[in-house]
Amino acid sequence: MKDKHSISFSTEEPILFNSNHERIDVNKLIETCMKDPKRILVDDEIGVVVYVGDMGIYRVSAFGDPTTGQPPPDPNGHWGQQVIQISRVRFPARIIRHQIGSVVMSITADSVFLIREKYIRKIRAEDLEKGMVLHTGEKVYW
Amino acid sequence: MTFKNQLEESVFRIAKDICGSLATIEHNKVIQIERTDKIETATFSGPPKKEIDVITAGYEPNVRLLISCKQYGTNKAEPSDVQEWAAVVGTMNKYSKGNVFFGLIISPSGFTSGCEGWATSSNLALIPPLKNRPTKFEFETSLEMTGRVLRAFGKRLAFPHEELLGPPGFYNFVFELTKAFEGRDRQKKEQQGGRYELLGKGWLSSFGELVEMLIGKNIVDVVATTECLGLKLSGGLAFRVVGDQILFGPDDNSPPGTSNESLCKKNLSSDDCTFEFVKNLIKDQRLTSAADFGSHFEFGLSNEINLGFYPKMLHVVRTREPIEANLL
Repeated sequence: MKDKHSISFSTEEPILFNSNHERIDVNKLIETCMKDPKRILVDDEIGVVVYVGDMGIYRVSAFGDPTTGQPPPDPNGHWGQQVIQISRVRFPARIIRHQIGSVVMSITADSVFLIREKYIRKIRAEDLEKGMVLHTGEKVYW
Repeated sequence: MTFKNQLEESVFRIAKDICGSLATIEHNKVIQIERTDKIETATFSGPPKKEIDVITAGYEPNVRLLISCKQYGTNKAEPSDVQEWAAVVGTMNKYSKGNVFFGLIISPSGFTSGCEGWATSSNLALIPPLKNRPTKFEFETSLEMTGRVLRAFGKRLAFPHEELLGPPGFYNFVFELTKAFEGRDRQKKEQQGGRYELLGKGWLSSFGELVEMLIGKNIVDVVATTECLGLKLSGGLAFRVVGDQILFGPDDNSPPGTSNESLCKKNLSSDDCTFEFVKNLIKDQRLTSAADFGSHFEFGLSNEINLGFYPKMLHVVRTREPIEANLL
């Protein structure tokens, strides 16, 4: 873990860990949060969203910093992004797979990425194409 | 109280339910900045003001969500709608005496793609969300999104929320809360209205959720009424087939209809058998698999029995090979 200052929302099932670098199970974390009604931002037909911003939860990312675009400090570095809220969706979108940078990932088709062209623009995961470059510098391989 | 259109009326009622007396609606309201002691706002006609229609959802102690409702029939809201609201919210914040203003624009017919840049850079939220696809949401879905956002926002404010204040924090917060409606609406369409429903909640559900919740549970009893066939399961759960619909979830012990022994068949040859026979055969067995054939629903049981739920009929078949030597 190299950095803990960037912030992210988490809607997939990411690799989460605490400030002691211990792996955390997403479902168990949500169950824990569900016992504290204050943390449940919403629990309805669409799914559950819980607040974890004060629990010292981080997600591992192999991409650069989502805010500054700064790349991970070294090729093997894990970028720790603080997680503010976690969602569990009851009707997830279609799952697709891409290799971006050194990472092969399963993501929902409607996930949003930022790519660098003449300007930085948003793109849905299902529209990512080989050769595109994220604004954080990682290349889309497939 | 008068409303300019159905959208405005519905959104105000939602805001009232959630924010109580802190929800207000004003037409042709002349809004004025709160701080009027700045040299740059001095003019011959007084400080800046603008006439708007606004629903305000207020949150203690000092947060105000300014909602603009755009009901344009089939036309989408344009960047000028977003720019106007950005000017209102931005100016209110710049000359605020302590209140923090957020902005939300609701346009059930959607937004043109040019709206996004103006909304993100101004930290205004949009309902329905722009997803870079011609995603059409129903009018009702936009209202559901609004309720979800207003409820979640109130609870979110109880925690530190600095990241929502700067662009595109609030835009993203609302986007994350509303983007998953696409999956729910698609599922509803695929199920032609809603084949799967969660008992008690009345929420739309899915075959996947049924499998996740029921597989591994034991059959406690079989339920047969004039309206439904079903199972009582371990863990206080229930499974019911009512017409074309499948309901499952926490057992409310009130299946529709009156008690009525169902028609029962056994083996692939559909031989007659009694309800009691089926009951004794499947009681205490564990659900190991499930299949939905549209016309009927089947569970695989731990004693190698397939239990089929047909309209008003239960059908049991032993799956052990050879079939002929293992007839029931």
